[in-house]
Amino acid sequence: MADLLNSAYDSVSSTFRRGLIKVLAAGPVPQHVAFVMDGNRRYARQRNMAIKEGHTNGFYALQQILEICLLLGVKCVTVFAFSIENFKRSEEEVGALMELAETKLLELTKHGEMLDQHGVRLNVLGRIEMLPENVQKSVRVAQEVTKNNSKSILNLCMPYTSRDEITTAVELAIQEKVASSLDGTEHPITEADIERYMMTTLGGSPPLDILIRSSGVKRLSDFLMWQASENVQLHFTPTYWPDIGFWDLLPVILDYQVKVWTQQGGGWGSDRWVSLGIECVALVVTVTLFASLARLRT
Amino acid sequence: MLFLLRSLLHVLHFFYYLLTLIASWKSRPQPHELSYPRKQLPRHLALLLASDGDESTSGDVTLECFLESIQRTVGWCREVGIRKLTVYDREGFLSTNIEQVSQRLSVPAQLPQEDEISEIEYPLTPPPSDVSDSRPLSPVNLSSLDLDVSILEIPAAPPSKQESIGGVKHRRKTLLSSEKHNTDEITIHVVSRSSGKPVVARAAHVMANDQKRQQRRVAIQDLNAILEGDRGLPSPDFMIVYNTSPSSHRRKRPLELYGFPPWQITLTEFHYCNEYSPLSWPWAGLSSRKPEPLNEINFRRGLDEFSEAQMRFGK
Repeated sequence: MADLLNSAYDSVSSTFRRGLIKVLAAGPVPQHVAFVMDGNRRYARQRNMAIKEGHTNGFYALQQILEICLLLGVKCVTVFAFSIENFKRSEEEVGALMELAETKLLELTKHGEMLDQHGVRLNVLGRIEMLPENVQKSVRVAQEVTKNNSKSILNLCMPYTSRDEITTAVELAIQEKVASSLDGTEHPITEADIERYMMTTLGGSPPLDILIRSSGVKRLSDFLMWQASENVQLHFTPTYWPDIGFWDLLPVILDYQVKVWTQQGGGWGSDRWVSLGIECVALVVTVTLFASLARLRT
Repeated sequence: MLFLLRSLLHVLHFFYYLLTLIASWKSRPQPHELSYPRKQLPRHLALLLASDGDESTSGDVTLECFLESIQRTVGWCREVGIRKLTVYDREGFLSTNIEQVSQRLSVPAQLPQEDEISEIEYPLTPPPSDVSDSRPLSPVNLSSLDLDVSILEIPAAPPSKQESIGGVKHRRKTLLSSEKHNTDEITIHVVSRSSGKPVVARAAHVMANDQKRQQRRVAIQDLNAILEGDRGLPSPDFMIVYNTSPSSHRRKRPLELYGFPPWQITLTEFHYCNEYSPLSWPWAGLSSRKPEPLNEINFRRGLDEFSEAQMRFGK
């Protein structure tokens, strides 16, 4: 009986969530959202699980979040999967993470329903040459298989640090300038040149709109600093990553919509309240009409 | 169908607004006093001042509000023992009015140099940064690079002469213990958006012209040595983000960084002063409130948060 109730609750709540997503999608939706998936280990320790299991649960949370973003119509999602600094962790944990990465990448390519359904192109950003050879191979395969998808982008940052990304962009901009100045013309390197060579831009990503970090830490920790330093809303939620879900994302999207509406004009001026009032009244009237019609029928 | 969905969306926003209203009435615990012995204190504090969302306020009023905030912050930093401060405003109100800033902080009169190196005085030599085996750029090239960071040195202040007749004993005690901090010198970096991304581009340009460099790739240490070097901006470990415009405090607004130099925020802990009180209704034209400078409660709350933060450095 409890099982039946549970599954009924699950399906009702998931229908409700899907409904809410549809409603949200009727307003402005961010083009590019980034996530720092923090707290897998603390989550595992809290529940007396193995660290490895924490990371696996973290992966399932990622799948969920990804699906919600895609249903909402977010064009690009970037996640911080592994920092270059994380190589400092124990051999055991690094090994487990690499294994997880390889397995999941292969899974994504074999059973790529979600990726294909939403036309997701996978980009792996970072110093791929630092990964073990078998993981590098699965990265190449996964990128190859999804390279023709064009509806949305998933950037997997591993192993990545933002300073490394900025430095690489600087190097590429310098190389371009040196090559172009051989013909005698002299152009200064500009901010826009560096921007062009950011790994996210090279992968075709739109500008970043929102960055969310879980587990309560309020730092960027060398993630997307160039992209996040301007016009990006930063959210720090105390929830551990494996626990993250729709309800964490909901206020973030609502806040974004308020920002866009405010920018578009007037903010929450009296005209907006009036239109809101009219819509509420209209809604109530419609619902009452339907209810009374239904009652008349029976 | 879309009309129905949009109406539902507006209804959802309405309920969200109500929820945030209710949340704003919940009283937050009082932060500890300034002198409270906190587990850890920032060594380099950054104060990000934004005046977003307030086009009607004149630049002068905003600048005055910024100056007041900085003056207060310097006082609190002195009391607590923070000796490095960075103040940022996107548009550069502070950088372009650096004389006013130094006047407010009673820095001994020093005329800013007119050439492109926009610093007031060379700072105390910072401890050598983590630069292991990078070959530094030739001094000629570096000196032509305008890093757009103004540096003010606030010398040690004389101990305050305030002493009341009554309660002298208690006062003396506190004066003695905090006297040490009150006389510390403080280094202040004044930066704006142009000290960030544009400087990275300029550094790239200088490096491109550097003959010696062309033999090898740019390394993180190279860029770091330039951006965080002597005349640059070192990384703050803690940042307080404060929006002075009254309209930004009417409803919940997420944190933004308003173009703060991106290289230096790697491990910076953020504290966002996001108190909001919707009591001034959005549509009221009566909401011609003046911008308010940073207050001590915000500062103390920030310090409390920083003292609880855990650093793992990737491990």
